[in-house]
Amino acid sequence: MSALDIQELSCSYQKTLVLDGLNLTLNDNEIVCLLGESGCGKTTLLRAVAGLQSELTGKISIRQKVMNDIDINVAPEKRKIGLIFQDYALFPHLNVFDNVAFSLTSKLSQQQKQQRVEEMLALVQLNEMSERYPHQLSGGQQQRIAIARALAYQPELMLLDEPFSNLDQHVRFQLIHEIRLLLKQKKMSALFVTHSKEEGFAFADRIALMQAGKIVQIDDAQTLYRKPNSMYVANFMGQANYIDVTVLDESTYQSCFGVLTSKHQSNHKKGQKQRLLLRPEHIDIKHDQRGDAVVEQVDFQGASQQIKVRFAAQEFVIKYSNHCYDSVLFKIGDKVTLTLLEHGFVMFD
Amino acid sequence: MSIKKISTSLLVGASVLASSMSFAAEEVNVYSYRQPFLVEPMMEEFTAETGIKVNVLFAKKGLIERIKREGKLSTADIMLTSDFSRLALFTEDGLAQSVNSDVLNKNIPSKFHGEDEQWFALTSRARSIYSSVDRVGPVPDITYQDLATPAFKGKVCMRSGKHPYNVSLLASIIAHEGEAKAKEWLEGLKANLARKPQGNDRAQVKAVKEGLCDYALTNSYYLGKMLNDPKQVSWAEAVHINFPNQKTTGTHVNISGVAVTKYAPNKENAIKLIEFLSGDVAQGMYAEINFEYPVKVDVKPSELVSSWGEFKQDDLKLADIAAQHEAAIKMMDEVKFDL
Amino acid sequence: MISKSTLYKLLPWVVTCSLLSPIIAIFISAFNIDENGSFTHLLDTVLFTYISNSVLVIITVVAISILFALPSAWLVACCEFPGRKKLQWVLMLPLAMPPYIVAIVYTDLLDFAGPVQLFLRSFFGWQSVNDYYFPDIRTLFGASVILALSLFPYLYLLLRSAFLTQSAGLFQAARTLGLPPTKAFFRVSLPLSRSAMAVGISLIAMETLGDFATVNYFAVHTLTTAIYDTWLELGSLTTAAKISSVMLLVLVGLISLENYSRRKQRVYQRNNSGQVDLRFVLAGWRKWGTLIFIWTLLSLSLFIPISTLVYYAVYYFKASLNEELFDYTLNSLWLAFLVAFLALFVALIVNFYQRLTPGLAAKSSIRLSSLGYAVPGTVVAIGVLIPLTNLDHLLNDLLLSLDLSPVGLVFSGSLIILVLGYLVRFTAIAVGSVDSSLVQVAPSLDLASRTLGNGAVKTLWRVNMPLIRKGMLTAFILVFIEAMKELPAALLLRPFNFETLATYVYQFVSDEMIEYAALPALLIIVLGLIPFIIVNNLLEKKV
Repeated sequence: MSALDIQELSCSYQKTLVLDGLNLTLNDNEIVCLLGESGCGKTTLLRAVAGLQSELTGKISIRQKVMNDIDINVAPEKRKIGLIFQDYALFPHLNVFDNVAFSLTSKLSQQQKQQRVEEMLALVQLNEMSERYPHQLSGGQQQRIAIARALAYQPELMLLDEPFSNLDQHVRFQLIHEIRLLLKQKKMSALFVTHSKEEGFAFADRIALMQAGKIVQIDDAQTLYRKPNSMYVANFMGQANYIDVTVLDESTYQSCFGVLTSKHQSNHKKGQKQRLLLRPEHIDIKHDQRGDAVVEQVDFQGASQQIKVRFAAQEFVIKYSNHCYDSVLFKIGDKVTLTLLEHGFVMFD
Repeated sequence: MSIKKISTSLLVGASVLASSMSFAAEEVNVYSYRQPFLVEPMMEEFTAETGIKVNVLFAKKGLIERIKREGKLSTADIMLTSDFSRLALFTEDGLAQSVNSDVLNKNIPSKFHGEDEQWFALTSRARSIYSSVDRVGPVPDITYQDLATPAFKGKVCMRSGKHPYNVSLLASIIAHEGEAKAKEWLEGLKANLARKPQGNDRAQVKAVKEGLCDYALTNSYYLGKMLNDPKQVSWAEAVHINFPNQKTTGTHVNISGVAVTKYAPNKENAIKLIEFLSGDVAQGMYAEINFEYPVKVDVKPSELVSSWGEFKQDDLKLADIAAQHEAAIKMMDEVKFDL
Repeated sequence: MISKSTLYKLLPWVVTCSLLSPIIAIFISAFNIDENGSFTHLLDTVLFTYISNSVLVIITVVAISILFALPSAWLVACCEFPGRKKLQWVLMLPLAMPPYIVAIVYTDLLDFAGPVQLFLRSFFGWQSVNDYYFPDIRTLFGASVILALSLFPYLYLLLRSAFLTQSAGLFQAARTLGLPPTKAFFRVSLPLSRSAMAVGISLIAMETLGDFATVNYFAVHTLTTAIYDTWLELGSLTTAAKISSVMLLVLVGLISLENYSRRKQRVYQRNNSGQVDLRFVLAGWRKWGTLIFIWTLLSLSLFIPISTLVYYAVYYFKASLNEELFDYTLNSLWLAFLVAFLALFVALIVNFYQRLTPGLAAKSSIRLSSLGYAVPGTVVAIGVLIPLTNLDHLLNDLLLSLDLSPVGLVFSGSLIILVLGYLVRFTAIAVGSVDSSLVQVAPSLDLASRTLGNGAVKTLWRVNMPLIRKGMLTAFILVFIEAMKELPAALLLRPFNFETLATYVYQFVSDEMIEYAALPALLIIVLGLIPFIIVNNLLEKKV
């Protein structure tokens, strides 16, 4: 059973198309990240699923129940979703306990309520805080309370709108793992919006990269990084170098690095020009007095060095791992040679 | 800087600030509880005749308190009131001064003089009972006491019991019959009211016209005023005026009056103004324009007022009524007359 | 020589004390001996009825005002319907209607002889009062409705801006947690606007408590009646002062209690720029219901009274247009202008004092300078008379002792007393309005300015003042309108031969001649509306 099913969803705002015939399916117990630049429509999509967006066409179903379709627009309170906000959206007039208990109906006895709230607070490890007011909590604590509040409602789908972007770097990833664990433990499906791929890598099972109201690629993090289906995806997911190649036959190519041979066959035609993706870690770099490449810039990054090299009238960004303490250091002006390591032969027109 | 320089600069500053006060040479300043349009015609006539400018400050409440606070610095020369209880308060508090004027002694009968000539009445008016033309007709023998009898249940309209006109009527009844009987009367009257006391005297006449009640307790001169108002004439035509207690104590009469303030800066002009107000011209205007009864013996009421006929006045001394003023106000509270 | 900084610290207190002096004078008088036993007399007879009437009127006025203001504020702030943009500021305009004039218009319309009952009688063929039932408008409830009709905009204004600045996310959070819009409104939006609600209610309660003309016109006797009676009829300043003091203490107590009860909740206001496109677009019965509600409210509070007045004014135009009317208009205008300007000045002083030196002292200077708002005009008038006449006597005695000629009543006999009386009454509005916009200026801006080399005062001038321009304008206009309407203080405190439009109107009204009062009454309303509209347009263009 799919947790969420979106078909041909379009949405326009002031005559511009914010969502453009978008399709997306979320599996049971799956966390999907909507990744993209600001303005790509990812927040609109989230709000549409939450029922907070008007002027929609297309179909949205949560757990097979139709939420949006022609003449159907289920109110947000009837969708059984949990929505987590960037600014936490804790009710400032209520203390932690009352915030978490907010969705609990009067059908529950006082004791049951108490029990449920305590359970939720235990999940986010904030039992001690139930008497405090939101403004007395740190950002991370507030977001955990917001999660507890949403979980107390026992939603069928969690929606998270940039929930970590107001947090400090070190708190952020700790919280990301904590909450991912929590969602997995609760077997909760979730749709998570962010503009940071690192958050997406850390939090989601699959990442849907959006561009101009469409999902351009949806896959797990590795695939998205290694097998992007467009230069846009390739560039978004990480540093990319491109070299021009000419197809010689199904598996060999002519390039500035000489003839390259792929393990896989492709259906490119002979003589066709292609652009080959090379990630910084796909190129090896060595000091070489006779080398035909020159170091132009070096960024020491601790575990590695990021080196800009000029070779064949082109600039390459290379990642060099500092394996041991006395590893080689590169300096501007060093002569080097570049060799290609094994890579996926991802090519674009 | 010398003290003198400081004080002169203070003075200059002060006089600039006080520029809104008028300091014309020939003027007289009046604090008036009476409404401007009732007194303005007389004041204009006075200025035309004497060249003395009259400055009026009109308010319905609080003028005595203001004069009290101003003390010897007060610029007020004259206090005009619409009833004598305020005059009594005014003189009791030592805010007035005696006036010795042959003109006044001649124009105003002595029963309309305050103690030591500290105040003078200018006009008198009767607390009369208006009856509905349609439903009652004229009732010449009616008494104030009748209004408290069961036969009048739900038929009487009047303004707030706390209004000076009603307070002095009650005070006169206390003076006549004692507190216990007066209270009985007041309770009976309250029980007969068609509605909670509200509005002014004219509004009671309007209520009779509308059929809310058959009798209204109202001052005499309002009838004349209303007959001359295009909108209110129809109210006035719906009622007869009756002078109560003709066969018993006589109709209760209140006065409008005047006093010269203790610290009057323009005392001479003040006396001139009062003399004018007691003279033939002003008394005639009071009669013709306001339909009040002039106090000057040889000035006749207006034709309209005369047509209502002569009536017997209650001959209680005003001072005796004033003495019951406080008791009357408190009695109004005790029977919760307005509530 | 006094140093500059001492002067800055002294100024707020000089201002506060001068505004407070009349109230202090009243408090002091309250401790005198009750000379003619009038307090015990009141206690034995009508005091409790007066108290319960006062409480009832306040509760009813507040309740009806909430009924008017809460839905309209929310609809205008959070929903979209035809004409919303214009209606949202038209809803503020009833503030310019003096309640005593609205009261007269409605009694005239709804009386037995008024057009409404006349029509009903001729339509149904009824003959007399006994043939049908018609609700009496001259009741406590009638008075409360009339007061609420001209007071609800205070609450509306405050609630509207509270709803606008609330984070929309909170409302959405509530909805995704399973609450339908109405429930989400009551459980989240409403509690979040509690401070706006509290301020609005206390403004309305104070206005109601201070009102005499309207309740008196409706023959409803409240504590103000008691003050008037004991003071002006029984001549007991002490008793009147006692009642006023107790009234003030209760009011201050209630307001502090409310403040204390929400000390733990800090309600952050977040500016939410996305609010505009998040409005619910109303359709169907919701749209029509909204339009009917708002237009009915506006008709009752604005259009019906104004058109009645216009009708009379046209009909009696020749009789009511004269040269004096022009003079009185000018008097009203410049007096209101001066008072509004000074009130704004005072508000800036006490508010900046608090910003620069936060603490109990500054806070109390704000509270104290606002106290006069709850005091009925006549009481303020006499309260002002006490210190100013004393000052006059002092000055004249001093001059005499220096062998100089006395200057007379420089303070109490001139417009100074009138202006001070108005200020005592209305500074509260300016203080509140400036305060509420000043707290929204982030303290970090002050710090930024200070570190950029601006002194404290310069920072106020260069950073804070430009940012609270809107609040300052609102303060100015509200005081201006109130000053145009003010009657009792004007009646008692004005110098000789000085009439304002309000006192002029009163002359006619007190003799049931509303027709002649229509033109000046309209002038009061229109002259109050014009600056409202101009400023509003200016602000709209800026945004």
